[in-house]
Amino acid sequence: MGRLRDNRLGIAGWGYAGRYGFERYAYFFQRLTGLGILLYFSLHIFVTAYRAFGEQAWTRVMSGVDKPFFKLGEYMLFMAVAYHALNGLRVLFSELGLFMGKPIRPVYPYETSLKRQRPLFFIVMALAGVIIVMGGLDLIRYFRP
Amino acid sequence: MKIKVKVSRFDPDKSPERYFSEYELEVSEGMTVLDGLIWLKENADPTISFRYSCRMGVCGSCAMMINSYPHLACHTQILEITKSVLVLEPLCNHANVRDLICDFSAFFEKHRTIKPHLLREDAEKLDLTGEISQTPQELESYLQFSYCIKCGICVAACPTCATDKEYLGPQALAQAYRYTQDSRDAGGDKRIEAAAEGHGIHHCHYAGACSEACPKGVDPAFAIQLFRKQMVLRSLGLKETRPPAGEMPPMTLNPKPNIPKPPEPTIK
Amino acid sequence: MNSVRCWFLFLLAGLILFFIMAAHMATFHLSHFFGIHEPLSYDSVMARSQQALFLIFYLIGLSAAVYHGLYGFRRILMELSLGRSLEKLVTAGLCVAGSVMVLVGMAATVMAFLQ
Repeated sequence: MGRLRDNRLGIAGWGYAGRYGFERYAYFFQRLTGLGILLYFSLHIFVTAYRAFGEQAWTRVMSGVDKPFFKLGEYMLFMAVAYHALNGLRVLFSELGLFMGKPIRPVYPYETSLKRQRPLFFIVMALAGVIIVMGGLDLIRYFRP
Repeated sequence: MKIKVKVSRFDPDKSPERYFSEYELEVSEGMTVLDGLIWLKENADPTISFRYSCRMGVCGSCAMMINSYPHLACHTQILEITKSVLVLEPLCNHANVRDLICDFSAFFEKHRTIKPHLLREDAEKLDLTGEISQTPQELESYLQFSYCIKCGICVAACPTCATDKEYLGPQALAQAYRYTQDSRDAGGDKRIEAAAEGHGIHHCHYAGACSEACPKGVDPAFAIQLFRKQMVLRSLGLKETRPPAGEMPPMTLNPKPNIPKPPEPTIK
Repeated sequence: MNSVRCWFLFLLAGLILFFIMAAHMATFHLSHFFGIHEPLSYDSVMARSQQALFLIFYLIGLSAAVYHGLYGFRRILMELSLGRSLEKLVTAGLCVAGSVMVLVGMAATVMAFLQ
C-alpha cells in the first residue's frame, strides 16, 4: 500500500478546508480558546494557591502580575471564556439534538440542521459580543480609574 | 467561453509527488465538471484518470475537490463555480491512488464496522414471504439518512478526519444511527458499542461541514447528534430498548380463477 | 456505555462551569458593573475564601474545570493519530496531571477556608 499518497489536510485542516459555514470556524475557535483557557487555568490553580500562605505571599505574587501586559492578557482570557462558554452552550444543545428540528425528506435545494440551529448561533454570538464589550469598559476603568 | 482547467496529477510509478496539468476548455452553459473532464480526456489528454459511472448524482463515484470544495463532478456546473480557472483535485482526507482517484477501502471498512444492516435475533425464523410493519412516522425518522451514496464527500469536509486516521467519520456514524433508528432493527446496543468506543462518535464536534457539503442532503452531522442523544438516554436508562417491529402476514387476496399458483418456496 | 457516560459527564461539567464561570468572571472582569471593590486584594479574597458557600463553589468549580479541560484536551490529542501505546501514555499522563491539579487546588481552598 506504499503506493498511496496520504491526502489528509493535517492540523491546518482543522482551521481551513474550503468555503464552509460559520459552524466550522466556530468549532476551530472553540478548540483554540479551550486550549488557551486550559493553559491559563493550569497556572491559575498554582498562582491562587498562594492565598493559603498569608497576606505577604499573596501580595508578592499579585504585585508581580498587576501590570498592563497581564491585564491585557487577562482580558484576552475573558474574551476567550465568554466565547467558549456561550458557543459551548450552543454546541451542548446541538449535541443533545435540541433546537435542530426533525429529520426531513431531502428535497432539493437541501436544508440541513445547521440552518435550523443558526438563529441560536447568532443569539449566543451577539451575547458574547455584549459581554466582551462590557469587559472592555471594565478594563478601561482599570487604566483610568 | 474559454476557461483554464488545472487537474491534479499523481502517478506513483513516475513520481511520489503530485503536480498540476493545465488545459484550455471551451465551456457552454449547463456543462458539468464531469462533462468537461470527459471532453478533456477525449480531446486533450487521454491519460487523465478519474472515476465516474452514472453521471447523474446517484452512484457517488465522481466526488472530487472542485476549487477547494468537495462535490460530485456530475452535480456541479462549471459556470456556477468559476468563469476563469477551475482547479480539480482528489478528495482530501482520503488516500490518493492516481490523479483524481481515491482509495476507498478504509472508508468502506469503517462503514462495515458499524454493521450497516438490520440486526435481529429472530432473523432466521422470519417468514420470508411476509413483511415487517413500519409506520410512516417511523420511516420518516431515519429516511433522510438512508439516502447516503457513500461518495466520501463528508469525510473530505470533516475537520476531525483531517488528522485522525482511525475516526469512523460522518458517513459511518450517520449510517449507524440510520440502522439503529430503524424500527425493524434490534442491534442498537452493538452499534452503540462500535460507534462510541475509541475513535468514534465522541470525536464529532458539530463543525457541520459534512452536512453542508453532502450532495444528497443526508445531513450526517444531524444524524450523529441524534445518535448521541439516544446514547445518552440509553446509558442513563431513560430510554427503554423496544423489541423490533414484528412481521405482518402476507396480504390475503382472492386470486382470479385462471391465474396459476406461485411455485413452492425454494428456501425452507 | 462507559465512554458515553464519560462524555456526558464532560457536557455536564461544561454546563456547571457555564454558571460558575459566569459568577467568577463577573467578580473579576465586570467588577465595576457589580460594584465589587478591589476583588483581588488579600482581604476581599480571604473574605470570600472563608465562606462555606464559596468553599463549595470553589471545590465543585475546580473539579468540573479540571475534568472538562483535560477531557477536552485528551480528545484533541487523540485526534492526532498517535498510535495505541502513545494514546495510553497520554491518558495516564493527563490522569496524573489532573489529580495533581485537583489536589493542589483543593488543599489551598481548604487551607484558606480554615485560616
